[in-house]
Amino acid sequence: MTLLALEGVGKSYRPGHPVLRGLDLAVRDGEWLGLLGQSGCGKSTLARIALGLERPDTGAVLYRGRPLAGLRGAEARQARRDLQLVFQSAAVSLNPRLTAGASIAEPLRNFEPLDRRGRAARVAELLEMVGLRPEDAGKLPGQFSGGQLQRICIARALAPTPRLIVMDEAVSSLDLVGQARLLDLLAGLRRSLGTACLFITHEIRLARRFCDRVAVMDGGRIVEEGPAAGIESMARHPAARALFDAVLPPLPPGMAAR
Amino acid sequence: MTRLLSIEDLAVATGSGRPLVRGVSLTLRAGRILALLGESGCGKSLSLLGALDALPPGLRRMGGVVALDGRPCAGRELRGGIVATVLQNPREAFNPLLTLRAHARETLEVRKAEADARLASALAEVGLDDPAVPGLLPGEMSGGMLQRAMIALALIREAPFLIADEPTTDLDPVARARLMDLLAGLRARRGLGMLLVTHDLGVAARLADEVAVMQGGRIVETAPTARLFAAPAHRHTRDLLAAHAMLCADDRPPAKTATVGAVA
Repeated sequence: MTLLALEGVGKSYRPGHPVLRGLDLAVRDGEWLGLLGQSGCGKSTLARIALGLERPDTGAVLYRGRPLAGLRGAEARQARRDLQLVFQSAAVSLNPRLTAGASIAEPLRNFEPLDRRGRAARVAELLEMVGLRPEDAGKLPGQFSGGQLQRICIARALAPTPRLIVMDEAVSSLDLVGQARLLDLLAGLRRSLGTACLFITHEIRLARRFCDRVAVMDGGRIVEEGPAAGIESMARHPAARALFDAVLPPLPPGMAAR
Repeated sequence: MTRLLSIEDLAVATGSGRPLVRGVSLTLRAGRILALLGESGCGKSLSLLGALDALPPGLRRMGGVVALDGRPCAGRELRGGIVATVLQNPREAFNPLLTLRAHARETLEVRKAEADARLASALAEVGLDDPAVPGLLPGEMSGGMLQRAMIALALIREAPFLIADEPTTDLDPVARARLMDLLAGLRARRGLGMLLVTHDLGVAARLADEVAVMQGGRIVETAPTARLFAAPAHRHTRDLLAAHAMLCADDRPPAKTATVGAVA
């Protein structure tokens, strides 16, 4: 079933310069949807609107079929819990004075009726889930590498057991091998937790490997959408073609692909 | 005309003597592109900075010889006039309060009219030929434009070598492809010798004549690009190639397909 849907969403920050123009997009329960597009095409605006952090000018965001903006009380709280976001820069999205454990415990304090000991146990479990050690809970952000910080952000997003995680270029600061490792880890978590993901990236190779479906954005609209496997050969829209044609070659010129 | 820039047995260590880079040897040749490949934190950038005597405070170069056509020289003789550098994050490399024109005048230290003319021709060469560009501040340009502007500033000194540290990392695929076409064109037209630092084997496959693979502060393998892809000798090279092949594979791995079925 459809978990989150954007219907005819329009948004502009300056009159006459729309960022999103009547955009439609839906993420199904448990699905990984890759959102591709050139810099400045409105991907991050879409992410903020999808999570209810900003209101669209026109159109609506539906969470399980109901307008996100109209939810109140316990339902609004549940939606806030179910929809989590991981930002591009891990270093600036963690408070440098809070230990990793305290950052991860923050959403638990908001959403889980746990006592101090219960929270500590859950933090340890989340740290292990993202490939860190329970002892890391006591360290400050400055004591971690970029990849480890991104894992902490992911653990924090997973803490309230969301149904959908939006990753806005969340692994882009890592090298390609690091990105693939982190996504492998997320793919494993997906198997056990069934969490859906809106994976915003400009790295087509990652979207192709980790997503079920891929959507391409251009000029504030979705211009191409389809299964991740084979999307490149099916793409018709010029903006999508330009993206797919720009993918780096797997092998040097003159070497045949295996 | 300078043909050969060689770095021999370079080492970099912390102030307390902990080695970070050891025994690094690299050779740049006119008209050739050498890719320095490795994961984050393996010492790629430190090797370059060490060779150019531009290490951050607290780090020391512990030895090694940098030579131009066989003549040893200090890093500070190389910077700018012999070796132009392009950095990963162009936004941090510019003074946010100076226009591109002001950057060029400061870089060249010649008459303003001559600096402006050389900037205009370099900007045209990198595809920024809009007459408004020299008057722009860094904040008024996109990441891709800044990266091109930085290459234009590197070109105006007419240095025979270019070192580019992860020049494509923050760009989207279309901007990245354009930048790589630009680098290939500069090699062809100007015969530049380039060192391209990257963690992406796709970048090496697209542009490099030769690849040096780095791990844990050492070069573990250097080979012509085609041979490195066809017959990697070092274990780490094979690991990187395996990760690269996994990302480039068109068909989806069996484990993943099973997951999709289970979820749907």
